[in-house]
Amino acid sequence: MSPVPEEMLNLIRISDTFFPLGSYTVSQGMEQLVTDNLAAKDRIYDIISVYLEKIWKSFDLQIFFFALQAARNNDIDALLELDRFCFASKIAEESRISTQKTGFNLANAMEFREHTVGISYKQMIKTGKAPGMYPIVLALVARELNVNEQGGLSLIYVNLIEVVASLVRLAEIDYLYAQEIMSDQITGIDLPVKQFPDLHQSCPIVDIASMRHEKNTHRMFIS
Amino acid sequence: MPRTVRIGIGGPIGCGKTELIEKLVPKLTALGYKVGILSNDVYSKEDARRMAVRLGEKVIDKDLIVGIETGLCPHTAVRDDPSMNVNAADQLEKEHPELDLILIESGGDNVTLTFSPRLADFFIYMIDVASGDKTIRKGGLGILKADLLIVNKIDLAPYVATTIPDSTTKTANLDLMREDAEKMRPDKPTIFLSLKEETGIDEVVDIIREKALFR
Ligand SMILES: Nc1nc2c(ncn2[C@@H]2O[C@H](COP(=O)(O)OP(=O)(O)OP(=O)(O)O)[C@@H](O)[C@H]2O)c(=O)[nH]1
Ligand SMILES: [Mg+2]
Repeated sequence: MSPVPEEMLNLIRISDTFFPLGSYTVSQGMEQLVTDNLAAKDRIYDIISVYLEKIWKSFDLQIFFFALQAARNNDIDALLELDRFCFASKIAEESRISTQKTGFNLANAMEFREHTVGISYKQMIKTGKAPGMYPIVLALVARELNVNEQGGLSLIYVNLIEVVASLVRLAEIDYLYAQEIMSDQITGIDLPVKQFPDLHQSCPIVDIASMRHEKNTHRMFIS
Repeated sequence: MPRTVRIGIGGPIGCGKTELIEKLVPKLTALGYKVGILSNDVYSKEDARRMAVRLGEKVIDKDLIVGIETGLCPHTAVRDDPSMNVNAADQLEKEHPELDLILIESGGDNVTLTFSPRLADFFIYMIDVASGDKTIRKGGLGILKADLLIVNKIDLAPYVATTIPDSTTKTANLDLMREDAEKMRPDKPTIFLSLKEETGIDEVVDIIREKALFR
């Protein structure tokens, strides 16, 4: 079932760079990959595919799907467990913190209806009782806005934009080439639901870049 | 309990924003106000570090100076999506409820810069004479909308040529700049000063007290 116009527009709204997630401050380690000459133009496609396959699709998206299920069941404990699991799985501190900040900003920009799991969980995030990682909050928002599984599209899109836009802002690629990359990554994309035991996040090149980035005193992005 | 008053300071690179904060803080502190600082730097946290060193622990605890990296969009960081700054200000306020005001330095940027009303209660825009006496008549949101416009580095006026064709002076024409300010922002204050020579700073303090702190 495809979303009705209202839902569709809400999906676009929460994915748009105008939506105040603070995404423009995030490069997910790309700034460091560029600094270390690991993101030469002929490798950019490969590196972005690595992000897509090894981090966003295999991990964040799966957490989102599970959190959506937990939200449907009004299961706050399950949400909290997933949230903590997501927090712990982001090995590099800055990627952990920036995913948390994005989640906080998303929760902050969203009005949840009374007596929903969303409003309770938002309160837990605000009072420091839950980490509030982006995939978890997005699941609550996807439920609130009735976009449900389609919220996963927003997750992939927002992450993709963070990395590709950082390349444009760092003047590594131009704005039209960026659209070529976006279009190629989107063409034929599938968003498979995986099982819990397979859930993992491992992408050494990005983790190491992020850790190096944490120590870099001259940088423009928070991650 | 009233929220800490947040004062945004914006303006082009090198106009003297950090210098202004360095000159204001000791005066405000002497008047008994508790001040915190958020410093947006496009690259690194250099300004935050510099203020901590130059102001020194006697004037301000270094925990009260927070540096923020804005990811190449300094105007976005204070206007379109100020979430980073709002969060940092909220955090500072939570940890230090005693603060009376927070000064927020934006990363050096362009003349269309404004602050989100969610972020700043009072907005100071700053330019300097050495970048051309034409700046005020060119307009831009910063010049038109700021609660206070500061024209810094008047000590440099004799050293730069005027950029206004009908100026009767050879060097930067402060009188015409004053006229321009009067025309562009008739109801709002503009202060001409030199942070280097430490002139006009008390006027800024007075305006902050009267129009932002209301005490
Ligand atoms: N001659 C003169 N120089 C000044 C004056 N005020 C500031 N400066 C100098 O201008 C330079 C830039 O000042 P900053 O305070 O770093 O400017 P800023 O606006 O914070 O710069 P960014 O944060 O990089 O955008 C410094 O070298 C200051 O000493 C002034 O009134 N007269
Ligand atoms: Mg500065």
